[in-house]
Amino acid sequence: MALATKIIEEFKPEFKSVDIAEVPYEKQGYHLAIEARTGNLLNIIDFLDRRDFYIIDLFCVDYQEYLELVYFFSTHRELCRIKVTLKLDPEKPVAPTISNVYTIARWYEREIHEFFGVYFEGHPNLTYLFLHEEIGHYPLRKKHVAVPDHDKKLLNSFKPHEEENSFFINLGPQHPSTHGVLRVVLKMDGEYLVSAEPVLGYLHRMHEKMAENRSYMQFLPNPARMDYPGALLFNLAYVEAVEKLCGIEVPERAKYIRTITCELNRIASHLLWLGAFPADLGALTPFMYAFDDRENILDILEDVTGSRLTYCYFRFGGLYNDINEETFIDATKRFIERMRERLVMYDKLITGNVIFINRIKNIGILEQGQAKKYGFSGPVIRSTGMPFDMRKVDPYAAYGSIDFEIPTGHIGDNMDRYLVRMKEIEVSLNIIEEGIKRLPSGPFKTEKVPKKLKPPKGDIYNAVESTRGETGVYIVSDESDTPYRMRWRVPSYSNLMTFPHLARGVLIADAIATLGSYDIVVPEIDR
Amino acid sequence: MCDTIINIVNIVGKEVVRTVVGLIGVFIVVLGNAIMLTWTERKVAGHIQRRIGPKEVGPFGLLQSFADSVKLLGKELLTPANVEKPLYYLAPTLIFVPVLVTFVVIPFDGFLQVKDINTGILVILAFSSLTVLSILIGGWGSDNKYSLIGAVRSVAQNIAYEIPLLLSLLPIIFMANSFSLRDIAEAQRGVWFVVYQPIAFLIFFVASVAETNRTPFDLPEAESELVAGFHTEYSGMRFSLFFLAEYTNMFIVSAIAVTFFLGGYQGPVLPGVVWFFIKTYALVFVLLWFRWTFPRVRFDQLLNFSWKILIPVSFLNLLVTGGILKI
Amino acid sequence: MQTLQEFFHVAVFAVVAVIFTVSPIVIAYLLAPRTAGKKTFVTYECGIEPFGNAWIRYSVHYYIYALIFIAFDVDVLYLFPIALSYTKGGNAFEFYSLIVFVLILALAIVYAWGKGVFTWKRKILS
Repeated sequence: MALATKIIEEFKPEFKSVDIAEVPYEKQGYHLAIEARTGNLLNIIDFLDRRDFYIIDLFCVDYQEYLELVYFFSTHRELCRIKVTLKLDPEKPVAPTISNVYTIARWYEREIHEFFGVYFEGHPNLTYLFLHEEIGHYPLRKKHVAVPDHDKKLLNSFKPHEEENSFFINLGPQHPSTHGVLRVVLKMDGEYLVSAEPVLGYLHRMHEKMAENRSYMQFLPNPARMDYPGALLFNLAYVEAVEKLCGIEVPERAKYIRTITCELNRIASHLLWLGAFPADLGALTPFMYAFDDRENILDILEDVTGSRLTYCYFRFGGLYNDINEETFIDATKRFIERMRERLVMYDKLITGNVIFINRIKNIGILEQGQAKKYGFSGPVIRSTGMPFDMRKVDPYAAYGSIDFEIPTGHIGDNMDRYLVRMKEIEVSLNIIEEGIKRLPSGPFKTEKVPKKLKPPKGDIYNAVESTRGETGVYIVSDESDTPYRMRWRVPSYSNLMTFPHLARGVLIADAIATLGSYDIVVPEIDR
Repeated sequence: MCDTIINIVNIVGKEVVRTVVGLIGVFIVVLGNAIMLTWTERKVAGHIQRRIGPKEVGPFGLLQSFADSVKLLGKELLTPANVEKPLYYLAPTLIFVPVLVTFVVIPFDGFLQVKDINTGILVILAFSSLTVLSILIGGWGSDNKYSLIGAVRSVAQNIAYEIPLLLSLLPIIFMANSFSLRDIAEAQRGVWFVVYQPIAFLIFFVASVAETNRTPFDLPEAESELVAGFHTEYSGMRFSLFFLAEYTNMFIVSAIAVTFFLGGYQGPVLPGVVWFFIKTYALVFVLLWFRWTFPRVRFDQLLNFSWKILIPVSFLNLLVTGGILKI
Repeated sequence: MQTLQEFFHVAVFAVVAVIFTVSPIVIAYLLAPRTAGKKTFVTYECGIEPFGNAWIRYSVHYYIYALIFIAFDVDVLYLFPIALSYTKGGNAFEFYSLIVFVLILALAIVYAWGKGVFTWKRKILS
């Protein structure tokens, strides 16, 4: 952990009075913990910004006697997670905004504001993002805290008669190309977009609050409901976090099966996107082709997991049941063969189409430099040419022992995002093949897992690479059988928030193409 | 004096019979076409997408369109509160006028034609611009921003593609020296004009895809951008009139293409009317094929494709035609 | 008389078209159910109540296309009579006048092209 030591060395002389502590990474999933105060928070943020740290997540935990803002940072080049905490007075929680340094914090801070009632000084637009006007309290606070009246006015920040030449239009929640119930308020000037502002919460189910009222085991099916196309990967993120928290060992065989099934799920998710993206551009036929292939994966996964969409296959310490050596491996091998042929066909059907190329090439260009500000991840960041993949950066399951390449793009336009995903399907096929080859025999789950989990006091952050990017779970345990606080860092959230930047001043058709290229999943954003 | 009156009565009487028979014939074509085409579209789409398409109602799902039209009759006629009522009600009616009038001059066979007006093609061109007018008032009257954008797009698109459409028909008129569709069809007794004018045929076909608002040029109703474009606020029977007009328009542009470029009703062995329908539906099939294969173009690409490529090329084609005719 | 006779059909068809479209609407009006929910008649804007109405100042960035079109369409119409009386072989003067006419017309496109009408840039307003 060269970077962590280096950071400590550089940090100490600059901030003499601030506590910085090294944390056992294996246990807690981050390297350094910094306790900031309102006065020096911005300096610390600046310190991290200068060293190219990107913001993973920003959220709040209510410890009753104080509120704690948690900022997670890391770098794209080397894994060095830093947790910066800031304690706030629960009666009058006010914190400085960091949105001028890290743009994505604009939305994270709005989220914290409506769920905890924390005010951010200097925030450009501290309005509600998820909730609607009927909510009279701050839902994630442990005690009932009523929303003051003046806050309820913050619900609608769109003023239609402001300017003469522009008008507001709602794109969503009931719109064919927002893939579910995303709402984007567009300010338009004819065909051009002046600005676009996502409004969330139309599929908000408050999974984070649900977690606080359920035992660890009971929460197990929930993650699959957040990211339904890539359910297994969310399942894995949660299971691994709890395993790390409780120190449960997982047998090798389970790790390999997790890897194989996760990659199958990743392909299924990418295929769903492959169908939806051309449909956003007006071509409806690829949708059926992609679903045809996806159906094969669902059949395979149904055999092992018992469900077709919202899988809940992984258990603490292993799996729900073992795979059937013959049928599963046979079917998977047949699928790999078929999929390779189909990829060639997709190349002819979609990639080579002149209209398709003209519609997405050089549109929605996302620069590499933006990655730090927005913290986007997954295929979106890889399309900018940065080989950032949690499977490589922070290997989990059996990814550490399987060699695979990370496909990257060049300029980060829609075409690159398309090509990266197509390439990823290929890479996933290779991983599955490799995994099947090496699949060890042995038990598929640990015997010693207690029925009622009571993890030791502490917190943990665990991240996996879901189909859309870095998916992290942060759990605070207070030794009871329910999590004290569970936070989900979802990749679509930070991916989507680059949309206002990319949509400014472009034609509505290009904006729709860009929106489609993110592969957003709204239930995941809303949680 | 008496003679004149008898003359008028004679002529009018003959014309009335002709009109009534013509109307019945045209209605059979319009309704039969719409019913067949909705079924064909779904069936073709199904097979292109590796599914079966409609199959439950009747043999091969053939009665599906009947079931659908009955359903549409029973659908509620919603009129949103804020619409500009006269315009909103007028649009679906107005869109049907050009559709039906065009049929007057289309020669289904040497004699199967309601009336061979000697300025036939001008009638078609003049009335077809009414379509865009009705889209505009429908979109504007709906008080819906999506409809408005769709309507404005539609106008820009239609005027952009009207010029290549005109310019691609001109070489044919240069060669046939007549505006009458029957004369033009007759002039192709030996060789079809598509042999002399392949470029004009391509330009005409591309422009007519745009004029009928079909994919890849379906921007006025681009569902991934504008929900349903200009007919977002229309439901039930009013919506199906737009729908009906679209399908009839597909037939009409294909029929005009057949008359101008593919020899009209000319063909060996089979009667002319059969040839006419075979050729027309072959072109209609190509339109369907486009729809289920291509993504949609972007709006600037659409306009610029017309102004930068189609129009200059059709100018060149026109000059070359004019030159060759003089040799 | 001749014209009247020619366009008699056109007029009849136009009138019938109107009747034809009105009748199914009348039938549907008689058959169809009627609902009156609280928000049944609200303008559709993806499920959210729209901001203001749609009769706004709509900036049409492609209005220049419309300007060229008007110039063009009128001029192209002149080509139709030419086409009708264009003779085959001989009389090269007709061809020369056609060239002159079309070239002048083509200048409009060249001019618009040069002026950058056909390029659409990303528009970022401060």
